[in-house]
Amino acid sequence: MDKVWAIAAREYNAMVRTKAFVVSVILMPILMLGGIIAQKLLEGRIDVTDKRVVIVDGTSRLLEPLMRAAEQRNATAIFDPERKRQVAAKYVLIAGPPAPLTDEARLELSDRVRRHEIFAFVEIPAELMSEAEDASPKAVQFYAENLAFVELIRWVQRSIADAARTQRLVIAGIDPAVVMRASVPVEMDTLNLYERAASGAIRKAEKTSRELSFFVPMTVMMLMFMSVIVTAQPMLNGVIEEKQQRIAEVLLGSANPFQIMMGKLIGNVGVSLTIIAVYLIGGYITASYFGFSRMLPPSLAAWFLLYQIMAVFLFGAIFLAIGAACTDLKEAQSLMTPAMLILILPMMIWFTVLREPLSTFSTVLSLIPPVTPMLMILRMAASASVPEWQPVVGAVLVLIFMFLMVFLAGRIFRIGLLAQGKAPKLRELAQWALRG
Amino acid sequence: MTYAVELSGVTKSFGRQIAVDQLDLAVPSGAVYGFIGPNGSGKTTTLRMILRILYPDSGLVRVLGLEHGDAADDRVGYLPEERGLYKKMRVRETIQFYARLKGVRDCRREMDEWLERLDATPWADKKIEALSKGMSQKVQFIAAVIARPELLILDEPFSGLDPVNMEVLKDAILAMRQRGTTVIFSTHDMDVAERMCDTIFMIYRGRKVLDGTLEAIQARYGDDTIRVRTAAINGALDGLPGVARVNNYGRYQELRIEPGADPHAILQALVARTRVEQFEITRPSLHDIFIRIAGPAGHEHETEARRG
Repeated sequence: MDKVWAIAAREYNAMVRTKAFVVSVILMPILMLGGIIAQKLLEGRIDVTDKRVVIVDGTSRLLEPLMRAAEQRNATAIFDPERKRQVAAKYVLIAGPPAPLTDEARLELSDRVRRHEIFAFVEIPAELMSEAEDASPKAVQFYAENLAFVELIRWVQRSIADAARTQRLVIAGIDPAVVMRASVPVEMDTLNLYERAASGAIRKAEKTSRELSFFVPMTVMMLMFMSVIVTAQPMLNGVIEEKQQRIAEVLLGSANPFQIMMGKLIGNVGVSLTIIAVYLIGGYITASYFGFSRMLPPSLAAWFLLYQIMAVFLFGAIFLAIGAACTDLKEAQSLMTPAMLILILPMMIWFTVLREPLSTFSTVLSLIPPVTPMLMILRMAASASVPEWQPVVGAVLVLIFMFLMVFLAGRIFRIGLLAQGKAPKLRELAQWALRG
Repeated sequence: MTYAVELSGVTKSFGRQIAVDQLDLAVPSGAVYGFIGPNGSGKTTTLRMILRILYPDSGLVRVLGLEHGDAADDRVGYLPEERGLYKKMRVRETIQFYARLKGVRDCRREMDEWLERLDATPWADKKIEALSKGMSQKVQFIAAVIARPELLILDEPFSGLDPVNMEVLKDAILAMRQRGTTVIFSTHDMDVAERMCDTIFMIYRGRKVLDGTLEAIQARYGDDTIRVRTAAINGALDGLPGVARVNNYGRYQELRIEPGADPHAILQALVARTRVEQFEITRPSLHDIFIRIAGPAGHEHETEARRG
């Protein structure tokens, strides 16, 4: 057993102490966190200079309500009382020259924008308030040098629309207040379910956003996928190095193939757990920041770890066998494709499974061993009512499949480790695996 | 006499190629045993079968008393040809790793001794990839002996070494014998084999062609060699009566005489042709014997069968 640990420790060190590992694994969550922090810091640095907008009102009825809307916004929406500072620009509306504008006048206003005297100018066509039945309203024209300041554009459009609607109601002799009351939007919260806590008390359902209920299962599955793929590839490279450098012979002279393989797989599990620890810490900080750390219950975490370890063993064994069977990376590529496809399969169907985690399709699929770890954990994260027997049965099936893979891969590993020359065909690989 | 390694009737083939054919071999305990033979003659295959990382198709392999042992034997140390080290690991880490694989948990004292003895202490903390060939060969050697094996198998331990390092490594191997370790090594260097080996074993095309002490081997060929140095540069030795073959070494020439020919007559013929500076009747060198068996002028041409 000591030999297994020696190999595991070497494998772990060889993988973790490379620059690529540090960069790809450790820096990623740090960068992600950094992004959030940077966003937070930049929030206070937005442009809060007044935005002066000239309104050329062809209807001569909308300017006044627009002015009122701007004043109201400037009074209430641009100042953050908590942080005691302005967080948005003030919009200052200025009455423009009488409509309709000539091209001369438009050029004049454009020049004023260019001289930064004003930020934009808006032309509201008279037809907007036309009482004629068949009048097709013309569009409002918004002119500005910088059309990327979407916030202002949206506000102008919305405010003109509001004002126009109110005015049209007045013209039609309807009290706008009545319409306002009638059109109060209906809101709906999405909640998860009530449950009974261990203490016997009823635990209330909590508000959950739909995006979040997608985000967490997906993240959990991606994390597993990533930690498997990040460890499998270097392990394959490692075996090829051992073959090329004839280290394999020395290893075989000291430990039996099963011990070597086990050592490597355990080292690999260690690496993947390191990755997960890093990501979980990063993820937890992010999760608490957004306030959904409760979305990761401990039982889910426990299942995750179990499935994770089995997934690394299972795929690790396959990749080890491939590495042992080939003499260089190029050869390995072609044999890797089928293994990769199985590994990527959950990535291709996760959305369907996530939408209906309890359907027969999802259930059956998640009980097929090579894809079980990822899909089962996806379903469990998506729905709390996955029957309890399913993860258990899934785990047993994966375990059986895993031992089978480790056993077969062990045979390929033993023969392949010494074989030189061209890569074996799939048929030959199967022969190695079955006959030993 | 006890034997560390015994092979009897061992045959191994890869596909249609027979790498080792009906091989018998007995390596006495505590001996230094040299394997010689051209490339592709089956040396490495034989070594690998002794290591049990290859199994013979037929025949018996007994290593350290065990007939059906495991490749993973902590009593056997192995140095593969030229490579066998992880490039990214440091020297001490590597040695410790190999020691632990052989079941030795703490090897620090032993390791420091070996590093010191092989003049390797200054680069003990470097990565393997930063080492020269000679340096990594030394590390490889330490890794093979760190667990105090009873049987040490070295595949081409001297290839690529300069004379100084070669001497250092030769002394280290002899030191292992002092401890009672049986050493089997393969080499291309006939000089080394002549000077170091108690017993020499030559394999050619998968078959044993020589096996025994140097004296015994040379005796088999008898005093059939004359070493001469003459004033003439070329041609003086051509067509001498009673001479079967001339080996030109540059500064001197070796003549193999035909069975029953009289060396005295040859000397007389030679004196008649040129000025003789040296004339010595001797046994053939191992080098000469090797060439006689495996050289292009031998009865068979060597085929470049790449069988390791």
